[in-house]
Amino acid sequence: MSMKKGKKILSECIRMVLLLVAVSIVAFILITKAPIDPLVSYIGTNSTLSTEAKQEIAQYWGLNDPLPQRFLTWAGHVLKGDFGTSITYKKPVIEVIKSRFLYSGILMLLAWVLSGVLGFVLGVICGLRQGGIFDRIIKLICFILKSAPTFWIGILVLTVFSVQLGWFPIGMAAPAGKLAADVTIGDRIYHLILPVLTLTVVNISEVVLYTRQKMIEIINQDFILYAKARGESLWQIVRRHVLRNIALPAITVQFASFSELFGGMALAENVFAYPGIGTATTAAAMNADVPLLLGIALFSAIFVFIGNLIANILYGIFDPRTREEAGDA
Amino acid sequence: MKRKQAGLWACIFVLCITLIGCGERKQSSDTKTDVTAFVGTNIFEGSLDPVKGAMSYGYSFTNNALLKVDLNSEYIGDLATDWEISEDSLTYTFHLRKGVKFSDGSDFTADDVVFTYETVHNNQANNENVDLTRIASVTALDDYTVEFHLSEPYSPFFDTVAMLQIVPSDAYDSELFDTMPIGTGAWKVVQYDANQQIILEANENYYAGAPEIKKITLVYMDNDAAFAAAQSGQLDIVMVGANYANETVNGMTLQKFETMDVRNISLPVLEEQTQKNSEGKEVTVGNNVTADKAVREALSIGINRQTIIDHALNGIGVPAVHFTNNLVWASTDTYEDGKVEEAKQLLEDAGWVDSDGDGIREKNGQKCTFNVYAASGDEERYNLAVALAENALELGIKIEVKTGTWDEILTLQNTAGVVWGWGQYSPTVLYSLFESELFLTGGYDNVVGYNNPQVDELIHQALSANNQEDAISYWKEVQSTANQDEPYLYLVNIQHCYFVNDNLDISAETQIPHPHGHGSPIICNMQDWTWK
Amino acid sequence: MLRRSNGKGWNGRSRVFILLIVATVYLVGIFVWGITMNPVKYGVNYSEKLVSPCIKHLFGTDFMGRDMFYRSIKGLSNSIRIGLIASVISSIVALILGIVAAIWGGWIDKVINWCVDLCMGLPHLVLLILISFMMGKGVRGITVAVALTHWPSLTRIVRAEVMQVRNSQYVQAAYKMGKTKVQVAVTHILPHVLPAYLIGLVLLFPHAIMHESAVTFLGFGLPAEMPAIGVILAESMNYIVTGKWWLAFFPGILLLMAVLLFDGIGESLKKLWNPGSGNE
Repeated sequence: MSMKKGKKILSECIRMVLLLVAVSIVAFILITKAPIDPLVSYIGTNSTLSTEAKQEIAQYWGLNDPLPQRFLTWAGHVLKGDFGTSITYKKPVIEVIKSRFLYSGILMLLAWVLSGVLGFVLGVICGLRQGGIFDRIIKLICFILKSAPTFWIGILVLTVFSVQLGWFPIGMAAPAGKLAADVTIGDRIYHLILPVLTLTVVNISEVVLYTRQKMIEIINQDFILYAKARGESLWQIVRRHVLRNIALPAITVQFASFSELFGGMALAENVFAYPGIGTATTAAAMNADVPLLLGIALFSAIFVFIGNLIANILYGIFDPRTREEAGDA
Repeated sequence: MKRKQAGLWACIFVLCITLIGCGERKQSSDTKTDVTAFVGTNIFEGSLDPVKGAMSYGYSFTNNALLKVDLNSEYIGDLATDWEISEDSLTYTFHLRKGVKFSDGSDFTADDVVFTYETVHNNQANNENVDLTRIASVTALDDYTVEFHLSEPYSPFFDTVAMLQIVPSDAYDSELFDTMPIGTGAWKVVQYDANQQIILEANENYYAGAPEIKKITLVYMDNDAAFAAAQSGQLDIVMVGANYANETVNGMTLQKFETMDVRNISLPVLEEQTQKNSEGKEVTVGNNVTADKAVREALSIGINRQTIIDHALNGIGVPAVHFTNNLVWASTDTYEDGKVEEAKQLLEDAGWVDSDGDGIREKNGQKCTFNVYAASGDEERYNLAVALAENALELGIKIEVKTGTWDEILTLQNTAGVVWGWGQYSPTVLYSLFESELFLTGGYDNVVGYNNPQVDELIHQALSANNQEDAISYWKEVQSTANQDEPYLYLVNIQHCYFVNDNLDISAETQIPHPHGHGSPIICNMQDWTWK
Repeated sequence: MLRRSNGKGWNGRSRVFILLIVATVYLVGIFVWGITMNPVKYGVNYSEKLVSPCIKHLFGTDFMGRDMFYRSIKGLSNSIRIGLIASVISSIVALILGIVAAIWGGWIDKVINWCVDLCMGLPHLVLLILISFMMGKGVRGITVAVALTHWPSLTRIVRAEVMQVRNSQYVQAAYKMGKTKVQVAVTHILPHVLPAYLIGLVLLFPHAIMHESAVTFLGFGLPAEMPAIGVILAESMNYIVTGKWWLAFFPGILLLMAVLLFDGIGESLKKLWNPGSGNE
């Protein structure tokens, strides 16, 4: 049995790695097919490089070669860890991504955990009190939130908490004019609160609604009725039967939502001018900064890939029957 | 689980409270020694290396040139103390200031000047702002005397000298200097966070005396975030667009500065056709509406520039009918605008008549309409174009305002109008605007396809004049001749607006007229700033 | 049991029906109103810059004195138009791929499934930006981007639907009568999956509209000169710090309502079609 599972996980991994390669090919084609001069896309329109230096870059990245060869050249450099130099930030792409992913990573992690935990708790309560006033209000809010554009929520949060109340800074990740070494954890948290709040609020509705639905399904099942009849308290029932049956699917759904999480992060970062991967993405696409855009596309694909991989493995382990429709929920 | 969460929330809450406390404390300015400023994002967008043309418009803070511009836009010594020009205007001898040190402690000598000029000269393609092609040789006569030989007379040579700041010959590093140049200037970069902030420290060795303020941070933000940061007391200077000019900020006052930065709209003068560009590619150029001189002229006399400025810029800016008016070589020709009837007559005489009653004129089935592009993200230019379009509609000319990135504009600039911003001390900008050979050479020069042999001749006479007086009169003639053809529709000499902390004195009396720079030029005299 | 749900269903059914009509009228109304609107209504008027909401200007005016109510309606109408075109293209792709995958099976099914996974391999927003970037932005760029990124989920739904009937007797009988796979697909399978497909199509709209405005907000969609909710909200960012909240608030509400209602229509259709499933 466990042999079989291990094999399953292994084949799943191989399938997804192949997928990752394909995704990077697609991203490469999309980006390089853009109507920009390939050389300009590597050095920017305001480049002050000498002609020789330009030729060297064109040579290094195979910019004059046909597409398949160009991709192989790029992939070769990337495998050695060389993504080129970002036009926008004038630094190696890998450095830009590293430092920015750290910012975005914290933002996404906090929002992900918060929306997961909070959403789960709310979902369980709503499910238990189905039809009650609390359930109805939460359900309504969730339906509205589900339809609300992330960036608009961000703007509203900004308007209320930063502009009207003046409680929080309007943007960035650290106070203006502070040396990097002097920025405290307090500063960081202070600047993180609103983006995290926005991203949490946006992501929470899926979790709540999903958990609530599962909760309702389970609570009406015979073994719960039996447990009730046995005199177990509500909390005991929840802890013993419900959590076990819902928590894992809910976590799985959370992992499968990495793609949405990334999109929400990009929008929230742009609203709050937060120096993470999301703002870098828009800046890169704005400035036709192809090396950076390629790097971000690849890393975002890896990010989604990890989420899906974990989700699929969890599916495979905990509910082999649903493996066929993995990702459908 | 719940308890943990409560704990987390409590932590966050406590943190917020303490942090808000911190924020408030920061606002009291008694103990202030540093300045944090938002002066636009322009200086973050390029290299800081003088060899690559950085800061050549006259507000360098890390390096000095041999000459600089004074308040009357005349050239005075900076790293040079005095100079001689030979009779034939081919030899310039500069005597250098003694005892000047670079921020790394090394001495400034003639070798550094020779090194800088030779490096730029040998890599001219890397520096499009400073043109040294007419220099034949640079020699150090001794440690403090440099002699320049020109291959032919070049009247804007002083402009060139003032634009090129000197880098140290031993310490120059092409990569390092992009972000942290070593120079003789009043400031040195101590931290450079791309697209975040540049932190400057006073150069205690600055030859004219160390600045009183010891640390200045230039921050990179969105305009709105910057304004909000100023409201919460985090910034001492914030550049704002004209759209914020009616706002108020506690403890700050709005200050406006004159610029030489003109906003004009290029109007292609050629009929639509295909031509080969400098790379040999066939491109479509020209526009059948703006090619008619009557349309261009009607716009220039028929629109009301003050109304446009009131509408688009909250009234901030000075109407302009030619390229700038605060420089010695500026044209002094002027004319009144808002002559609607005259403009209409002009159009009708040229055959532009509104025959179908839709308010827009036609001629031979061609509607009198064309596109004007504004750079996307530049709300000010977009507003200007829209306000112009409103105004032009009165004349029966329909202008469709569009937005595009600079990459897109590069491909559209020869067939449609574009809102431009030009503003620098050197009259060579006129060469860029009107010289016929520059058409289709890839950059943003002469995008309209202007070709007037008389103007070309005048430009070359001006460039080769062997004295300033002649050069200036030629430059004025270039403008009066070219402007009769109206290839550019000049709209406004903009003004830069800043909210400045009431306790900070930014020495308005030593601010030069601001060159082009999207708000950055206020830093031109940072060494004179003081806390009151 | 059956009777009770029937009785309840009727009540619910008429309610759902009314909701459906109201939502449809509202959205079609905005769509048509926007298309036929005279541009003068949302044109510039410099004498009334940044007016806060009042009777004359329900949503206030912006920095050019443009009436935000009309501009928002026009913008939403533009969004609906793009969403409509993109969703229809997307759904047709999904319909064809879904049916082909399920009927032909084998490696074709594998390839199509793999393409679905591929499309979901990048964050949706990143994929949208990349496609729009490649197409040179603008109306064309964003329409293609939205059209090309919304088919995967619907493809799965269609495929699953077809799987259900693939082995049913009447399909098998059709095969036995010598009909080709294409004939079976068109005559027997298509009618069966049509309802699920149409509901899927309707439920695609809100996503398409939301993604269009998000990408436009980031600057890779509709150009600034075109009224669009994304453009309006991006512009509003410059003014909220000076307290011009109405520039962001109302247009956002309008978009939110459109998305909610489209969702509502889709869910209602689902319930009308399949009353048993709608226990909520």
